[in-house]
Amino acid sequence: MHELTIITNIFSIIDEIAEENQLTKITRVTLKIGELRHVYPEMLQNAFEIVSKDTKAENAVLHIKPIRVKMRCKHCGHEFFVNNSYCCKKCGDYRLKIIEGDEIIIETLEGDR
Amino acid sequence: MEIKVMKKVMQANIEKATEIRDLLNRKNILMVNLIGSPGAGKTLLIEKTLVRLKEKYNIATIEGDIASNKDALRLQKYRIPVVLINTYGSCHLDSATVEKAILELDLDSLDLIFVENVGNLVCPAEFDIGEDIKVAVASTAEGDDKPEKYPLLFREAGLVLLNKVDLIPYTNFDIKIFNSSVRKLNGLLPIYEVSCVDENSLEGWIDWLEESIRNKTGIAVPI
Repeated sequence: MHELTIITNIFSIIDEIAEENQLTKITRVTLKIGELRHVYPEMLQNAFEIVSKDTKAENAVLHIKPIRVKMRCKHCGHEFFVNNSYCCKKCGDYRLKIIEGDEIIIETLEGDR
Repeated sequence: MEIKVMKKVMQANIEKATEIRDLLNRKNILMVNLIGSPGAGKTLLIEKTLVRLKEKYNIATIEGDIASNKDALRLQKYRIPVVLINTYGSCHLDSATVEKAILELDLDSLDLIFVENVGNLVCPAEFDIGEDIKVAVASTAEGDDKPEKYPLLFREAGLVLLNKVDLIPYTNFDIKIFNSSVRKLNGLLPIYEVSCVDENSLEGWIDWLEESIRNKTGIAVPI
């Protein structure tokens, strides 16, 4: 259900950017979504379609780039992609810092003036 | 034309959560966000904790429920401030909603705010509400596979309460599997095994909570 919240937030950002750039039509929205965020792309697509009706983004393509979870070990500095274990693959330490994979970012907007 | 945007979609929620965190830091109030499935035992755990701590500390609770005031009524019996948020279908609390609830409380006379999030293992973990710590409440009757199936919660949580351990003999719950899958996600996450029918099992959780309250509020150790 949080897909709808995400889409509503996306639209408030789209409106802002469209206004700043005097876009009359949005044709493509590219999102980067971290795998840790549990977002189900198909549901997001459906929510986008519903919310975009009668807006500048009607019929726009929503392109979703999944981002794998990447961590850096705070102990040895090793960087690695997480499969199912959040444990340094080099030294076994649990103290990790997330580099990417927990984000929901609007990367680009395409549209016409 | 293509426009580089690079904006975080949840930025508005994060900003509001940061405001809440700053406010509660200024007021020296600890806020604990309890997240778990419907029926995991969140309300009863709060009740048991209130019995132990409400004379020592000033505690309020914020109750998030899709519908009904059932849980809020249960907690009102303890004569503490309770703010009910009915989300009318929304599966989580967000920072804007929690801020409204917090502003209904007398922040000058509180040490601890419990937020009982909407019963759900997915969405509440996504939303920062300005808490000091997220506590994942899992119960043995739900099965030992929950960490593996809902990894974000166990990544975000600062503590796990494994509830209803008294039921283990009647279920196929394997505590070793549960613990090792939590470890895989978050190797340093403390897990407290609790049961609301065994007061002694709550000691570790109560001690942890008291220490956290003292660290946040600066209240001297009660003798």
